[in-house]
Amino acid sequence: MEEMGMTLASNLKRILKYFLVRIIIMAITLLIGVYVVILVANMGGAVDEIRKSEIREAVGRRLLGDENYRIMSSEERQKYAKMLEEIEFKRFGLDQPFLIRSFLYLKQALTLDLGNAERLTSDTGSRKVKLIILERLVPTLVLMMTSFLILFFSALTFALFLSRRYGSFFDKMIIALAPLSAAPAWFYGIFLILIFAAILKILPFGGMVRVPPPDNAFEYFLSLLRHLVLPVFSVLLSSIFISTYNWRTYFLIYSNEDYVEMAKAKGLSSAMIERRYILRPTMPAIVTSFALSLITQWMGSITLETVFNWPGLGRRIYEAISNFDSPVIVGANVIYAYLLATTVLVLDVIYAILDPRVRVEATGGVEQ
Amino acid sequence: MLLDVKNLKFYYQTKRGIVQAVDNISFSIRRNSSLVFIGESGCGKTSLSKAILRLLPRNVAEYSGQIYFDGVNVMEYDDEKFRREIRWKKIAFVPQAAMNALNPVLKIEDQLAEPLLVGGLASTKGEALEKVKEALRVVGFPLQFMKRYPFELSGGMRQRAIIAMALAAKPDLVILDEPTSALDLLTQANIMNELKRIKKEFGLTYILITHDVGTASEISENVAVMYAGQIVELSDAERFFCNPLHPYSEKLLESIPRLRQRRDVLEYIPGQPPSLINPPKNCRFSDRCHRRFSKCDHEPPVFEVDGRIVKCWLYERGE
Repeated sequence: MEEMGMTLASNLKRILKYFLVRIIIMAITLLIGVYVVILVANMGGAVDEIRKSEIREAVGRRLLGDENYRIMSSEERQKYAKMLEEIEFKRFGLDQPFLIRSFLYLKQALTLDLGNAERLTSDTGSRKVKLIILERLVPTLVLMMTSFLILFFSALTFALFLSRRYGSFFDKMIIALAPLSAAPAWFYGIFLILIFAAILKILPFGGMVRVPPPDNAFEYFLSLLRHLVLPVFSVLLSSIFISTYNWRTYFLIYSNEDYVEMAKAKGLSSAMIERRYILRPTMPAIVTSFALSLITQWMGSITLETVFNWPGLGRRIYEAISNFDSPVIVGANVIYAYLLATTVLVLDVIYAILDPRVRVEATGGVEQ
Repeated sequence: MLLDVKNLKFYYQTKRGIVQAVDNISFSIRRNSSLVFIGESGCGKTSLSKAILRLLPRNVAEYSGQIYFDGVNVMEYDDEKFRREIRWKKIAFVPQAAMNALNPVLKIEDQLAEPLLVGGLASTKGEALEKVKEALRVVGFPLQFMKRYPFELSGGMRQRAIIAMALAAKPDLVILDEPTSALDLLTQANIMNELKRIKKEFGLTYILITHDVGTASEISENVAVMYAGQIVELSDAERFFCNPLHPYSEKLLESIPRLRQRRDVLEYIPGQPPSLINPPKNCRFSDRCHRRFSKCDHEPPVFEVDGRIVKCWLYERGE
């Protein structure tokens, strides 16, 4: 009894140590990732030069345009301009070398102190980076999550169905339709808009809700659903066949394992074989695929959002990139990096629950 | 007769043609006896075991014949009835690649108890686990490993677990398809000795499939030699190992290396077995046979010699 308690305690210690190590590794990864993003978003300091010359130009224009400065000699004026520039540089923190500021940015980014945007404003007029990103995150999640969840689970269900009917008509049909996925979702989006909005006039062209938005929550929801139909279907059209095909092949490979045949010899029903001998051993891979695809959705899709005029994060990030608005770029990436790190950590835990082979690594092997 | 197989055919469809893996095989086995199938790789031994258990692949082209189990033709059962009444309860199976025959994410005890619960051989999990423990003791599997996962066990232990899984259901017949071929020599001998003991103690009826003639000579009562999808000789073990009838059996026995006998070159059979896609119409062994004569251009029927069966023109009566 005492011995059992001791092994339990030592196992617990090992598990804690395992997760501590995972968290430290994840934190270091996050640190490096965010720093690289800061370097890239600022073009290694080149963005500073662009902004400095912009400030010089603005100051110069102001001095030239103002009559009060005309009485100054050109030497005096230049000196004065230099002074004004220095004040402006200091205001934006450009007086310090980029290397030092990059670490300051890193600290701010990691503490989610995302600061103010340089050019962009939120739809409500705020310059806060947090607001600029978060107000767009929700519509993106509504669109991307809806289509992703429908896509993932229907592909999985169809794939299981097909793996049972290898070589059947449906199986051959899905294989034949798989090349449809060569075209991206927005391509199908244009077609669907043409058919259902322009010709048949039964669904809206784009946007998230009717303009002006309905006051009633229920009507708002209905309007949202109507606007969701076309973008979700274009995602489904572009991915469902290849996705089903992939999973089907995966299940087929796993249903050829010796233990599946053994389960058959043991007299288990096919439903039971599917559950315990095909789905159960493949569950870690399914969960991984689910989690990793899930986080790629959070960034939104630039083209799909543009085609459907959807107020999503993808379009906002695009605006930020084309305007060199590094605080917004960094902010979006930091939020993304945190989401990614959390997901991977959660995935580690789920993996350890699902797969005994991983669990052993966490508990340091079985005692002999 | 416990099992009586008549004219069993089992063909696969492949891109290059139909593979006649099991071609018109007939044999029978009494209760409490054992039958060993020997033959080269690719002669249809494993296909035969799958055909008896109806573990058909997707590309099956023909599956016909009669399999009488306790006098009932189970080939007439539909899949559901066959699954419920025959599999594991009547005929259990120990597969060839036993290393991979256990589900990697289920504990040993759960996997062993599963067929007992599904087949209604135990009503509660506790009862099933008791039966599992009993079977594990029989095969010499340490009970403290029951709660482990397959990857935490050695190959020999996994093999013992699978044999225990087959024994726990107390089936009438066990088919052992090369149960030890993936193991080292010592473990092989160990498991074979256990099998011998279990057979003696529990009156087990089994079919053992192997390419290892040495193993076969140790443990069998009856021997069937397979060549290119057919049985070429069926005999009791004692007379078979002293005096094989078929030229192929003769060569097969000569190819066993012996410890105390000095030989420079190990005996072997030149050539290869014929392809099972469109096999030749003559005697299938004739191309490699050292006793070939004119009659061998026609397929030989089965001749009976003192209760032994041989498929070779040499034993035609009235010569």
